[in-house]
Amino acid sequence: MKDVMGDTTSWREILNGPAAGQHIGQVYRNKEQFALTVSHFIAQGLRRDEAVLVMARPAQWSALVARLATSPEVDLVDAVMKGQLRTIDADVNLSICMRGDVPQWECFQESIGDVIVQSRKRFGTVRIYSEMTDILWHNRKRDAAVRLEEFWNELMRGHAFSLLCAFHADDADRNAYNAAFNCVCKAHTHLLPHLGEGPSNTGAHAPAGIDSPPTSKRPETA
Amino acid sequence: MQTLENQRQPIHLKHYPMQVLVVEDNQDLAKLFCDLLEVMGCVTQAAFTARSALESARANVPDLVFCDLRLPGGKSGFELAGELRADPDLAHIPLIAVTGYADEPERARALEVGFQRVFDKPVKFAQMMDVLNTYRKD
Repeated sequence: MKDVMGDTTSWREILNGPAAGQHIGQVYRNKEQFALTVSHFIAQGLRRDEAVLVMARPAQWSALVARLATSPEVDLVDAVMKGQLRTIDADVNLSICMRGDVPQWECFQESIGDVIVQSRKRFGTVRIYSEMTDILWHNRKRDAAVRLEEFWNELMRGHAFSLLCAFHADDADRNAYNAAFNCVCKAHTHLLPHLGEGPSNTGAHAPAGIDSPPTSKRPETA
Repeated sequence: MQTLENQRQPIHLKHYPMQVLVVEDNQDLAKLFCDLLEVMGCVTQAAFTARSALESARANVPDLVFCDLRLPGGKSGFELAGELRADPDLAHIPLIAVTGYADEPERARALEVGFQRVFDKPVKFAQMMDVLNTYRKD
């Protein structure tokens, strides 16, 4: 996990043009924070003519649509027509990838790998937003959540794409920030802050209880 | 979004929120239209062919229909409009054509068979909003 902690790189810069292999985690407390950062990630990808794959739950996707639909920079209908924007129900895809409480690598790879290959052929650069891990986490399948993050990193070794994962921080859950969550966070190359905390929207910090990140390099921006 | 293939329960809401039927064979696009319309406060149904759209409209009479003119399955959006207009229970429904290929003759034909408006793809959010404001029944 790197940088944004203690760094002055803004979250917007990181989400503007993440390089292939960047695996960004966003911890959010409310839907507005979620919609702000994830819609920015999607909009920037569409503006840059990248392929954008969104793996969200329907209610979350609706919140993103509400923000993106009125953005002058983005034409969602055009993006879907061109095949540039693809949406996958995260609940459905997760059910395909799981056997009981255990994520299955083959199923995971098959459900996403082909889409990435096709998208790369057409658009060159691929960025993915996923909340499958968040679903597992909040269903208290914490080992599975950690495993799924490892799958994403494994997939990144064979396919070039950038990835944003969003996690809802549940302050009422005493176990939310335990060692398992630390493992989830450490699977990411970048961890973005809760927005609205601290002096500005720049820089970042870990949620309470998360270890300090290892030394890291600044993220590349396009 | 409800589809004929996955209709959870009949919708009895008649006027508010507005019930919109989206007829579009590109399923990703149909889903996005439904998502956009739901953001605007509508209840949506999606149909991917003219035949299933007709069944859907008869089962749950919509307040408005967005319809692609070119549909698979042997029946086009033009034919669907003709059948909707011929059904006394459905003839009053405003029909909005959506097409990626409309030339002037096709546009004129769409208006002739009963569509109120013809939009080129990609349809803009503002156009959809304008249609809803025009046909919304408070």
